[in-house]
Amino acid sequence: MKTICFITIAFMLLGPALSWAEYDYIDISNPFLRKIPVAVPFFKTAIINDAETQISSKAADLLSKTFEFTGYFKTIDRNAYLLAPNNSDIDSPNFRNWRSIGAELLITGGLSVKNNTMEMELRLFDTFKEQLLIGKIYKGKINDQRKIIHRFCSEVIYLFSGNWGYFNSKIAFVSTGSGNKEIYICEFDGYNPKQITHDSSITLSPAWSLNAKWIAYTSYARGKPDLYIRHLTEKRGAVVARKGINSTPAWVPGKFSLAATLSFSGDQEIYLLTGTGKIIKRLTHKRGIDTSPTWSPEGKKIAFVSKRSGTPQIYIKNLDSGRIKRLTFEGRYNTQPSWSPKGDKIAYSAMENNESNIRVINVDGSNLVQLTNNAGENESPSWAPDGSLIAFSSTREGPSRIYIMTAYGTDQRRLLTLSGEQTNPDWSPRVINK
Amino acid sequence: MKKSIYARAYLLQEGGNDSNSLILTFTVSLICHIIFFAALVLIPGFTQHKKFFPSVVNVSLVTLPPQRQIPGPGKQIEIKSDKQVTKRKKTVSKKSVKVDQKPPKAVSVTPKEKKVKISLKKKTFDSSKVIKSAIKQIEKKVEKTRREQLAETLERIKEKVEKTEAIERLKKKTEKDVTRQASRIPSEVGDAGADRQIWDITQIYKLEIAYQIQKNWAFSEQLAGMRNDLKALLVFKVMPDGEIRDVFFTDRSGNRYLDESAYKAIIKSNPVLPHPKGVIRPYVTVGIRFTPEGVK
Repeated sequence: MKTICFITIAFMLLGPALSWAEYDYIDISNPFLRKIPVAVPFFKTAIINDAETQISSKAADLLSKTFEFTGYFKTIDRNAYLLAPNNSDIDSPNFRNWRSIGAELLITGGLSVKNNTMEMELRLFDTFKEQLLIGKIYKGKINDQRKIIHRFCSEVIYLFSGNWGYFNSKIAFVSTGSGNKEIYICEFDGYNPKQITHDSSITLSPAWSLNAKWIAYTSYARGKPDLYIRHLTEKRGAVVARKGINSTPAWVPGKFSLAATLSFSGDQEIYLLTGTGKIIKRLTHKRGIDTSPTWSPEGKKIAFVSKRSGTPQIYIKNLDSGRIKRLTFEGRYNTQPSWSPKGDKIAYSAMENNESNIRVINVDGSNLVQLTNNAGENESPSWAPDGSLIAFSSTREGPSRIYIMTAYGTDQRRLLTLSGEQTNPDWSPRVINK
Repeated sequence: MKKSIYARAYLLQEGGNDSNSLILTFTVSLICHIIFFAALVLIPGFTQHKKFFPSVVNVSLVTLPPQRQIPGPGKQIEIKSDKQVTKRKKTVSKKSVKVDQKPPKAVSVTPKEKKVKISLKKKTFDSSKVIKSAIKQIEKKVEKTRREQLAETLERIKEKVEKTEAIERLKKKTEKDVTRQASRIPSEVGDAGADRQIWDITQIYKLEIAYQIQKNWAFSEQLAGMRNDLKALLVFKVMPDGEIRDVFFTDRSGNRYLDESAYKAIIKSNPVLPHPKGVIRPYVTVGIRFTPEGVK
């Protein structure tokens, strides 16, 4: 009896293993294409007229560009389509046609415009499973086209990766376009840059609050580096103008307070401040410069730059235990740390052999990777809210510009071109529009 | 009633009819289980799920107030505004002061012509020398980088070519051997030597199929979170004309995106090369293990 039981259990446990063992497997570990091929034909319009056709083709182009921007997708050239790009079926496309040109995904769209109101229908298909993955109808003003496209892209990214991406985020940066160092903001893809400070002096280190409604920065508007905390749409704000330096703000995740470097005590130390500029407590207590704080996503640790060991290096402080550990040992000049939104990595700027480059290191000090190489001075890394991209400034083309790359250093490209030089990018959290 | 409870309680130790009925029940149950598990193990074929078309969802966007835009280079913009910050000094600490906004100003984003200042240094130092040394340095740097990159690329290409040539050589040799053996001693085709050759041809054929599938594998490791611990195992049959049939997973990775990309790579490769000479099976079974290794 016991034997029967034993054999049964053994059979149950070993059955699947035995079935796998009967095949010889060949390993494939190197995908030929590292992006998903996707086809985006022009959207169909309800009425065929010039205005709607133009909006349709613009919308389809924007969708293609936004997909390419992610670094995950490769849009297929419309010249390769078997059908005319403006003649695809929205509801039930001929999947075989799309498969034969290598498209794994297909996005079809329809558009109708009435009295400045637009209705856009977007569908994402899996051409191999011949299955509709996402289908949405959006209604809005014609000006909302970008917003509609970005919202659809968010849905697609969420389907594949489980996070909503960065399509509702913005990037703040410093630009000398007006003749002075002023703070500008633009959308995540560099669209619509706007100047937000007009101090006619030196403005530095912009930092977004968690809801992206507040921005903190350092300005020399009063002749010395003071810390400005400012609401972007309402007329509210505060200035921290203590003696000495007031700089490098970093908002605490989930709270209306921030860490910043103040030197009124004679030594540059990091303090925790309220959103109105009052000091809550001092976070660092070591002689020597402590500056550039960045928070871990849960707000329990800060990484900062300190010269306590003789050269500027990055340290991590656990605010609960008060324990401090040195993170960087490679190189003699490591600054501008930026903690990844996932919490596992820190990007920073490392100067070695008279060249600044962006490096990424695990918070336990392992897996140090240099992401830029032989491409001018690369500084001020800042993570996208989903941790998939990094914005940074680089002088690879002469004047300093804002660039972005994937978190692994691939797909490095310029974000925008403006007059003057652009530095100090700071990527905002994802703005949730309800 | 009491007796039956007693009887059930000591079933395993009692002989006679009760024991027989237990064994019968157990045997029937065992057979059912075996059939069930055998069916699970032996027929795990890839069943196409019923197509599910989610209904289209209506989403209405709320329009936000229009934003001011900066026109492209070459245009002047006027930035209105603005006392951006009110006099809420009461809420700020003693040392905090309100933000003073300066009156609006027209700002241009067009490139400004910069005044060229001639420094004293320029008058005194030899610019040609500086330029020469800078060029020299850049040349040295470019040369070094290029050499390294070139060497790496050449090495990679060399490896690839060697691999392909080795497969080709082996394939030709095995095909020749099989043909020779078959023509010399037809009666002995089924002997150990010939079997070995056929086995070799089949293995090479499988490698070729795997290579073809790899060329059709599109997978973004970053989209899968750069996990290099994932693996998807698929098995399929290749008919004599190269048609791929009965694709099924023997082990899924747990990452839907990797599983789907692996499946698509196989379907995209259909049909593969027909069976080579010497393979006389009704079909060849191929197993592929997809394991992304991360961005290099």
